[in-house]
Amino acid sequence: MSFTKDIRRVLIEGNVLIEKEWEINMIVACLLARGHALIEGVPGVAKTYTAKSIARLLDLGFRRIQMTPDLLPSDIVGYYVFDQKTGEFRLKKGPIFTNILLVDEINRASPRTQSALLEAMQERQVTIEGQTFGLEEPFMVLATQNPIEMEGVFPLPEAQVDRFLAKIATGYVSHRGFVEMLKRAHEIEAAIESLKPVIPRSLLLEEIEKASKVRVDDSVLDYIASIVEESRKHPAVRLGGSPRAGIAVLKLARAWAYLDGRGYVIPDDVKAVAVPALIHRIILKPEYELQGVTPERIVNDVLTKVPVPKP
Amino acid sequence: MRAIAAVVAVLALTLPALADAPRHTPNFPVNSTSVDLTSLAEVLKLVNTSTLSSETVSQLVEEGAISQEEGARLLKALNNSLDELEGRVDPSILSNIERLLNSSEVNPEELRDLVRTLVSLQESGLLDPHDYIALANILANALKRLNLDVPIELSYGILRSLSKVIETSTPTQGEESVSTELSIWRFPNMGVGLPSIQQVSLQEGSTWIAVLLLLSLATALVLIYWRSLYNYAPKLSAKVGDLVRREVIPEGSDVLSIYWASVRLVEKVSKVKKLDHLTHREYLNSVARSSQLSGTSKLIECFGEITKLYEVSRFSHEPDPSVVARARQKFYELVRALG
Repeated sequence: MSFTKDIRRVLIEGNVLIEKEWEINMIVACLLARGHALIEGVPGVAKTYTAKSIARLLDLGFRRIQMTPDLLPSDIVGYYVFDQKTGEFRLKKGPIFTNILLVDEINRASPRTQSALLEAMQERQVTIEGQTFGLEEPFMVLATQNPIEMEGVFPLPEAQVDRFLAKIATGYVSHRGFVEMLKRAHEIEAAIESLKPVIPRSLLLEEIEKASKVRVDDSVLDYIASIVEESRKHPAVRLGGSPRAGIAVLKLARAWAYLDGRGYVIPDDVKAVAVPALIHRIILKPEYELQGVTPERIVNDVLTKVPVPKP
Repeated sequence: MRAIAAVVAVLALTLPALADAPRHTPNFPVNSTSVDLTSLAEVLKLVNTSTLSSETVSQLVEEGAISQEEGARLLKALNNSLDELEGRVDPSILSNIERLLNSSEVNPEELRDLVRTLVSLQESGLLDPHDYIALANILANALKRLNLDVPIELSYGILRSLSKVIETSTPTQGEESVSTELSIWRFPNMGVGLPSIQQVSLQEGSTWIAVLLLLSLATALVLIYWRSLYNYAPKLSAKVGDLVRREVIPEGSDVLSIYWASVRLVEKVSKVKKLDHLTHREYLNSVARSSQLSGTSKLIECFGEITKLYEVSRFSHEPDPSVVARARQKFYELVRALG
C-alpha cells in the first residue's frame, strides 16, 4: 500500500501536478477496482498529464489516442496487413494493446469507433478479423471529454457511459495553485518525463488482487443498495442508478478503503465514491435540467436522505 | 429487602393458581371481556420482578423458596422486559431508558423525568400497560443502582403513576360503574381475549393482590429511602454533583455501546446532534468544528479514537479484545476531558 504514498509524494508534494490529489486517488482507485474512468474537464486542466504521470509511476504501458470523427475502429484495435515478403497477413496491433489507454476527447469519435472500445472495456479483449486477443492486465481506459463542446461531437450512448466505473470531474486550480503552476510551467513536461516507477507491475497486480478482497459488511451493502434505489426514486430523475451502478459503487468503495489502508469498507468510503460512480448514470428530467439541476446535486441530495448503517 | 422480594415473588407465583380457580366478576361482561388471566399473571410477575434482581432470584431458587422453573421464568421476565419494548416505543425514549439502565449512577432529576415520561406516554396511548410494567421494572432496577439514594417524593411519584396507569387501563367494554375505592386498583386490559371465562371473581381478588403489591413496593421504597438517609446522607450532596458529570460503562459493554454512550455525551456537550445520514467520521468532524467545544482538543482526540475503534469493531469483522479495553479507557478520558 505504500505505493499510493509514493505517488502522492512524487506528484503532489513534488508539485508535478498541482491540486490534483483527489483526481489521482480516484484514478488509482479505478485501477485497483479494475475499472475505467471518464475524466471530464475543459481543455487545459492537466487531464492528459495526470493520466500520463500515473502510468509512468506505476510502470505501466501508456498509449494515447486522439479521437476524431474520421477515426476508424481498426485505428484503435488494429488490423491485418499483407506482408509481401512472407506472403502472409501480419497483425498490426492497435494502441489498445497497452495498460493505460488515454482516449482523448472520446466524444469526438463516431459512435462506431466509440463502440470499438466496448468489448475491450467490458471483456478486456478485442476481436480483429474474427480472432480474439486478450488484453494485458492491468488494463484501463482513461477517456477525457470536454463538457462545453457542442459541435462535431457524438455524445456517448448510455451503454458506453455505463462501462466507465467513475466519472471524474476536474476543473481549474485555485489562484494560488495557478501561480505555483506558472512558476513551474517550463519544467512540468520534463518532470513528468523523468518520473520513475514506484512499484513494479507484478506488485501492482497483487495490490489489485488484495483490493478486491476488502471486506464489506452486510449493512454497508444495504446502504449502497438504498442509495442506488433512492437515486431512482428522486423526483428530478428520469433514469437513476442501475444494478451495475450499485456494483460500481461497491467496487470503488472497496478500492477507496484499500487506498486508505483499511481492509474493510466504512460508510465514508461509499459516500466518497458515490458521486463519481453515479453521476454519469443518472439522466435528469428535462424540466429539472433546464433549471440547472445537476446529477451531482441529485446524488448529494440522496446521500443526505439515506441513513448510514446503525448502530 | 430480600424478605420483601421473597414475599412479592411468592405472591406472584400464586397467581397462576388464582387464574385456574372458578371466578366471577360483578359488572364484568363474560363474553366481551379481554382480560387474559395467564397474561395478567405474567404481568404481575413482571411487577414483582421489579423488586428482584437476577442474583436474588437465583438465591431464592437455591433456598428452595421457588422452583427452578419459576426462577427461570422470573429471570426471563427480568431480562427480556427491555427487548419487548423494541419497536413499540419512540426510539429516543427507549434510548433514554437504556442510558438509565446502562448507567450505574443516575441523576434523581432524570428519574423524575422518566416517571413523567411514563405517565404522559401512557396517557397519550403510546404505551400499553404491559410496556408500562416493563418500564417500571427498568426504573426499579435503575433505582437500585442509585445506591439507595432515592428521594421519598420520587418513591411516591412512582406509586402514584403506577396506580394511575392501572386505573386508566380498566377494560371498558360493557362495564358498569364500580365503587371509587376499588376503581383505582383495576387491572390492565391485556388485549388478549378468551372465548369464555367461567365464574370470574377476579376483581376482588386481584384488587387485594394489587394492594399487596403496591404496599410491598411502597414499603420497599420507604425502607430504601430511610436506609439511604441513614447510610448515605453525608455523601448525598457530593454524589449528586458527581452524577451529572459521570457516566459509567457497565462491565461487558462492547465497543458499539461505548461509542453510542460517547455520542450521547458529546451531543449533550457540543449541542451537535448525530443525524442519521451523517457517517461517524462526518459527525466527528462536525463536533470538532463545533464552537461549543473550542479548546477541548483532548475531548475531540478521545472521541476520534473511539470513533476509529467503533469502525474497526463494527465493520472489520476481526474480533480484537484489546479494542474494548482501549475504547473504555478513551471513554473515561473523554469524560475526564469534559471536566
